[in-house]
Amino acid sequence: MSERAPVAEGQVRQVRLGHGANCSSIGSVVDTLFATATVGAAIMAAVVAALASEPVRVVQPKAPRGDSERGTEP
Amino acid sequence: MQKALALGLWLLAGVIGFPTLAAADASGASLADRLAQIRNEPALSNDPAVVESLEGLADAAPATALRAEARMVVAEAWLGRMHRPTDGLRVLRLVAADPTADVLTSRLAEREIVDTLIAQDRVHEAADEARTHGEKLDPRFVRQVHRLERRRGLWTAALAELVLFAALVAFELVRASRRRTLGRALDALRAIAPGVLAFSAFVAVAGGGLASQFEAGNAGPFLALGAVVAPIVLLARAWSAVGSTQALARIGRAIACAASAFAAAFVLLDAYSPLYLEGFGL
Repeated sequence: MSERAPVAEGQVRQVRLGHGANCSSIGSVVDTLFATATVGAAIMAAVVAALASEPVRVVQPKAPRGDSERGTEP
Repeated sequence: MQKALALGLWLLAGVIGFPTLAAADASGASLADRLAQIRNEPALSNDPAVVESLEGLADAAPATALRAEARMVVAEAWLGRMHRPTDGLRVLRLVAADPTADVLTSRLAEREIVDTLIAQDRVHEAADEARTHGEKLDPRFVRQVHRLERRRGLWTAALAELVLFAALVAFELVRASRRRTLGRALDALRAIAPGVLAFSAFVAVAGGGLASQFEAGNAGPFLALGAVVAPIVLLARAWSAVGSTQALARIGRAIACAASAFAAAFVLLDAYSPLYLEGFGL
């Protein structure tokens, strides 16, 4: 089993502070990705739940007045 | 006078010597000898009878740092090899409450009490213990225990929210069925289902794919989230199709459905990847 050599100060270019700050892979943002997907799902659920369905009533069209008047003419 | 003095000295010697005699078992071994014997011969510490005899010797011994050390050996045997956590906890509490115990031993006992309670899923008791004896514990560890307690509370709340959501939707759908208006929900679902399923698939496939690229990543949470998003959104749509059209009802439904999405995500993360929750400070 090989041991990793200690990193010399001169080999370090930059050190960032924060959660996963020095991780260059997707691992540093994968939790944020999950949070974003969850927020997206929550917004979608909220919008869909707020939709309202109005009942559609079908009414019979009234007969045009002119036709009925015409029909009664002698 | 000399006789009285001799009698007094004899009585005094008896009083002083009593605990030492009591600390020896039937074979005449003292607590220190027995402890050294067990430490030198690991096979002995695997014998419950030997551990019980050590515990008996410790109980009979005077209050010293050695007694606390012996009790720690007993407690570790009960907790680990013997699988007797109740006995282990009892002995650990004796060590933690022992004023003559070495500071490090006392702290170790307190830490193991909290660890054991957590391992037994008694998180609230562990948090109470950490609150009461916080001075003996590392502040970071105390914060972790409190976080665990908070997470347990959130988990209960999330589960309750999901049950309430399911109950409300079921109630509304049953009412709609009695009114013969369930068809409206089905029509609404038919219209929205392709979009919802596409979104769920995107979350599962794209999120899971990215997460699995990560060395220690796990696609599980994304796949599970994709699987639960679709039912929640579809149920939300069915509810809105047959529910009240008043503004307050619509706002209430929106809040309940959004909360359900968060609750489901929380429960999933707690089950699949608690590391994510730590990242969010939960």
